[in-house]
Amino acid sequence: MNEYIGIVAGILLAGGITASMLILSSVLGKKNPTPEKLEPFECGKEPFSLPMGKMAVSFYLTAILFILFDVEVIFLYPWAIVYRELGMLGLVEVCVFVGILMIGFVYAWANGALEWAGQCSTGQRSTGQPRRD
Amino acid sequence: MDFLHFSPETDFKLLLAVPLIPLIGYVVQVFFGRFLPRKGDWLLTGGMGVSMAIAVLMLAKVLHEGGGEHGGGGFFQLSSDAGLSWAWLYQSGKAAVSPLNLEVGILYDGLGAAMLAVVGVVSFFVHLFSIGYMKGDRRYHLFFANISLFSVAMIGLVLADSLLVLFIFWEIMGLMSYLLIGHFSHDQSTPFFQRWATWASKKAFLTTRVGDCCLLIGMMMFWQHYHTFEFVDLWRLANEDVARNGGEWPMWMTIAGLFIFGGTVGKSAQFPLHIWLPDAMAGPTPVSAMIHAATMVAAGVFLLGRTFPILSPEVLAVVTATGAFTALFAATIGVTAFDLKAVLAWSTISQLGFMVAAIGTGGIGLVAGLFHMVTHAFFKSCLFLSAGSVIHGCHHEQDMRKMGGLRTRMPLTFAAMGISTLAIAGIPLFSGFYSKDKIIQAAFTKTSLEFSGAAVFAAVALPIAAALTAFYMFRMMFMTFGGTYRGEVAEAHGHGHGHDEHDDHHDHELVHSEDGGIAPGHPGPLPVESSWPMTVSLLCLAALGFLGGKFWLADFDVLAHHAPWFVRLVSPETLYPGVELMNGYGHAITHEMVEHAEHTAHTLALVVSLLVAGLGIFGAWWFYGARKASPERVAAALGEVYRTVARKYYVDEFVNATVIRLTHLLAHVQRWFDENVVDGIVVGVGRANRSLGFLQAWFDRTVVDGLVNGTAAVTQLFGSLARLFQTGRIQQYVTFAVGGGLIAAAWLILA
Amino acid sequence: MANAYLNGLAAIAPELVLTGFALAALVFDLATKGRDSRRVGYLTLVGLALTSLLLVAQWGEPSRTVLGMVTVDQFGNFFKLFTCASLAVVVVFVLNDRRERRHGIGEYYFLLLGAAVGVFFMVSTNNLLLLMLGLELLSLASYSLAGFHKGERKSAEAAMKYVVFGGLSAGIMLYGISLLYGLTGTIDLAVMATGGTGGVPAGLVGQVSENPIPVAVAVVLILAGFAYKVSLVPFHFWTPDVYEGAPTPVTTFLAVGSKAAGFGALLRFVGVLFVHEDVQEAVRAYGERVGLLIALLAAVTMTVGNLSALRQKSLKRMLAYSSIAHAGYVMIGVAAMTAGGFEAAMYYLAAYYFMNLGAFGFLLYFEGVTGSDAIESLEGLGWRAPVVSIAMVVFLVSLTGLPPTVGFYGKYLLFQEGIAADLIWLVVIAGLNSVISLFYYFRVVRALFLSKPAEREAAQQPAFVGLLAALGVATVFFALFTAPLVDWARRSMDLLSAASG
Repeated sequence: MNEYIGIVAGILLAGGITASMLILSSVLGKKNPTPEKLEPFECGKEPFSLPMGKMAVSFYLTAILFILFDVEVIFLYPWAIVYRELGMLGLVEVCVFVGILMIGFVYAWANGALEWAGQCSTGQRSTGQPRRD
Repeated sequence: MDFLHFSPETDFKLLLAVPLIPLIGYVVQVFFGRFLPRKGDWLLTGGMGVSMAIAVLMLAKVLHEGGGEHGGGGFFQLSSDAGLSWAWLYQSGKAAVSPLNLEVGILYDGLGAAMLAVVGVVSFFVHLFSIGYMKGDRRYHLFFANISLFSVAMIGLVLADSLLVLFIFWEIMGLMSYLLIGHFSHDQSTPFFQRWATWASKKAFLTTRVGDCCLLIGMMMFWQHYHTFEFVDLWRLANEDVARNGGEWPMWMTIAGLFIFGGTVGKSAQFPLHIWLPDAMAGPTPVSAMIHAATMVAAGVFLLGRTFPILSPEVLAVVTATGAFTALFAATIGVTAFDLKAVLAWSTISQLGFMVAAIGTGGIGLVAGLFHMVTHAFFKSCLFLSAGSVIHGCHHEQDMRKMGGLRTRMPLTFAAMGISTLAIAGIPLFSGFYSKDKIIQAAFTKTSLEFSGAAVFAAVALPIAAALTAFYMFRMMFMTFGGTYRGEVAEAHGHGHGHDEHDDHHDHELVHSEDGGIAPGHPGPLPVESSWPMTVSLLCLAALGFLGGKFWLADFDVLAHHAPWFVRLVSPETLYPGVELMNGYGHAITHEMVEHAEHTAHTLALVVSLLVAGLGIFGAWWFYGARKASPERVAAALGEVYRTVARKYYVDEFVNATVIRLTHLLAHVQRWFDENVVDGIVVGVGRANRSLGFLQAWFDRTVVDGLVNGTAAVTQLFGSLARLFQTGRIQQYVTFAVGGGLIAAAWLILA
Repeated sequence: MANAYLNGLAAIAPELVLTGFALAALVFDLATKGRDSRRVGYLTLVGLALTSLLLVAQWGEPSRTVLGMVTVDQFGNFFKLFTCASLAVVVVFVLNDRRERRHGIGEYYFLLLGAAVGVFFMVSTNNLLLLMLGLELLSLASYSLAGFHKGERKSAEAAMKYVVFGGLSAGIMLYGISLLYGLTGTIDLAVMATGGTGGVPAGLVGQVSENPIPVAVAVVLILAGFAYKVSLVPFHFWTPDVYEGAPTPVTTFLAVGSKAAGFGALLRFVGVLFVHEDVQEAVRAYGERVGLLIALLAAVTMTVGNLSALRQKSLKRMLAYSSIAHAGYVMIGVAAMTAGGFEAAMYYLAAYYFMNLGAFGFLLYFEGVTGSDAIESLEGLGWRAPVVSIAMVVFLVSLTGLPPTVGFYGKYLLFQEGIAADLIWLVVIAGLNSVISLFYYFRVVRALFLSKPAEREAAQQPAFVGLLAALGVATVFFALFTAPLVDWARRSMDLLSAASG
């Protein structure tokens, strides 16, 4: 049991601090509510809207790219753990893996997927379509 | 002589070139012939020339390898033995149960070699002849294409190593004969020929079809028992079967053999399916030469040669009887014919009867029959081409009564035709003598060893037929070349025949007019000799007709003490190597007895054949040369008998009244059935189908495609992606898919 | 270990080379900044040729499993070579697509090669997970390809429908796989089929009697995944829309390459699980029932496909329905559940290769000429472009199943095997369907030849016309010389013999 005491302490500490901050600010803070302030905070996005409302397609593109590379990079963790056992072969393999990823990255870059402005101006573009034709 | 050595690896490929060259020529000619200079005749004639050269070279090789001094050299090669065969159809699956692996290969032996060379030579000269004869024809290029493919069919048939392949080429040949006999059926300038050709080609096609059907049935019966079409296997298996059976031929084999012989009856124009051959002369004369000599009719005899070991003694008796009867029957009709080509046509039927009868007697008869097929090809092609030359010279007149005196006007044609007539009449030194003499010898041998009805009939009928042959052939010579030219003198015909009768031929009526329907000619200047391609062909073929029996002058001897080349090349032992023939004489008759009988018959046959030939020629001279007696008066004296013969024993009328009438009746019944019953069902099914289709389409449109996407226009007008998804279409798809999956799962659980 | 590993890599050399070329195509396109994408096409052809060479080099090698999950055998190589061959033709189609741009379409080839990599893994594994991965790789590439012309509404619509339907089917299939895994404790098909005795729990043999319902659900769910890929009714709804909307070369790939791959994986699934000679008796008996289910699906599929095709006005859509019907025919061979049936199915796929590639090539050619895929617009064009049109007639004759074409011989084999497997009713239905199909196939012939010559001139594309003519010749040639293809299909039956797995 002893080894888990630290975790319990951490949970208590984090919860306590958060709770005390919220409580203190609500008790001590000066309240001047506006409709905007009352809305839940959601990364700058409108929390409620019609389901099929228009939204900049660049959001999706960035998100897809993020997920792609994020998930692929996760593979590096197990590799790092058994790095010594795998030896040279493992290194070569992971280099191939990263190399392929890099090709994808360069491709996305070259096609302007990382340029927000360009995405907005050309509207419907996505990775499937190079911008230089 | 190293180049005469036969090496399977290379020479089989060379053999393949023999049919391939004209085949390629055919394809080129059909598509591009009319654009080629001279309409491509040089292309096909040249190609055929190359094929002929190869065929002759191969024959030389075979003679070198297998033509031992006294027979039995034994040349027999199968391409499949050399690993050169071609997997054609491969049945998958239950291979062990029904081996339907059909392989195509080449069987090349003495018979095949001789026949291949014959086909090559005759076709080449027919091609060459046609350059002159067909000049100005409006379908000139197609004529050459068709006649080339006709040769290809025969070449393929000769090289076939299995019944099936043989049958395929057999059928190609049937089709080509139809097209060629009907060559003038598009020629609207001569309505008579057009009608005649249309109707004659149909008659030939339908009549031979009866035989083809029989052959197919026979083939299938053998296949059912032995699961193979390969000749070699069939020979071996059938004879082993009979040997195991104690020499008794099973019933089915006799029936199957009769069916196979049915194929010969159709193709080789034996009684009663001979009716198509006399009318086949509606085609251009070179075609007749091909049909009567090297291709069509020879195919039937060749088939007998290839299938001889699987024919039971009963079948062979039928074969002998049919052949002997046909020989005699046709010869009598030949005596009464006035149309130059008709005489030749009936003589062909008669000679085919000789061959078939001889093969039926087995032993040396088999060899003699096949030998006669070869020599006959030479002189009959020459005769027909000569007839063509004569007809060409006489402005398409075919009636011998309007000819005469051509001896001086067409000397080369006269020489060629004379030599060939001597050959067919069986005069010593000429090729026909050697083979016909052997046939009569075979009939006598058979009779002395086995006093059966068929053999006796053959022994009596064949010499008579031989005498008649000599008679009518010389009658033809005297009428055509002797006397003076009667062309432009309008002669009153004894009985009012004429071409008017043809005008009211109904489509279905296979009966031809009274005496062979002599085609109308037109008056013109006096006949002159034909152009060089024609005369060269004639003379070359005449030379072969002369020398064809004894190929080499080196062992040239009049009385045939030495065996002719063909006999050395082909014997029952070398034709079917390794097969113990079970359809010969019984155990009681020893080899010595056979030899003795053959020897006795040899002398007798020599005397008889010389006698009958002399008799026939003398008779012809008496009536037509010297005109010591009037043939018209003899005919009048014979009265009804003469008329019956002249009307070809009313066979056509009989066929017309029975088979054709019956067919028509059946056709009417069939039509009624078709219109009332079958159509009803078909229309019903069609309607049901249509309504199902409509239902399905409706389902697809309305339910599946959803409200908006039913029409592409709507999607194009309003369809942004988001909106598209809101139409519910995909959801519907998914619903159906999942529903279907659920039903499937339920079925799998409950079933 | 390293040695075994390297041997494994050597065994999957074709896959590696193909992957390499896919990446190379992408990099090459980037490096040339998308100018003249035809060069990428040529590079793709080189890659396909090289891969094919490597595959042919494996000819005659015994089947083996490498890297723990990839089974290299002749069966897989049949479909791999098939894929290479069909892709090569598709690439030529793309190069000759007159409505396609010449620049900036390098991804086209990359996506095609990527799809091929997916096919390669999908048809050469007994491991359901790898199979799923291969299938998904193929599907993802196909989605992008279907929507390649996203400026066009139809193309975009096609891609979207494909994605949604494909996603659903993949999910269903994955669910089925997980059910099977849960039931048997293994994701290896061979182990599932053969294990389960002597204390080894991993096997289907016990489950078919103890848990029939979950097994049935699992099998049906997995079959549904395949059914979607080869477009069997009722999982075919996407097919006409997607085929119609996608660019024609992509449609060709979907109809030939992707469909054959689906059949490859399906045959392996059914073959290893139910038909293999080492399979437990109970599992084999269960397989007979599955075969009957497949036969039902086949009957429904060919009927729906043919009846729907009857009223189509667009040639492209008609060919889509016809491809559904043909999937039904091939399923006869699968439903037979015998080595002979599988052989027949594979022969038919090979036949389908020639005739369908040819038919779609014709479609592409005439879209280039008329700018439309309506059958009406073909009227009289047969006289303008005789070579292509005569080839098309050959393809249509073959699709109908009349001699002397591969389609006839293929159907003949299928019917024969169907009868041998006591599926006479199915064969009768298939025969009736063939008759129905005559109606709509010959509408095209009628439009081409039985009307006055069109005003419009044909396009001059000698290489393309030559390719179509060659396919036409092959369609007849391989019907006259059936032995090579039949032999090849028979060789591929090492799938079912003891050596594999």
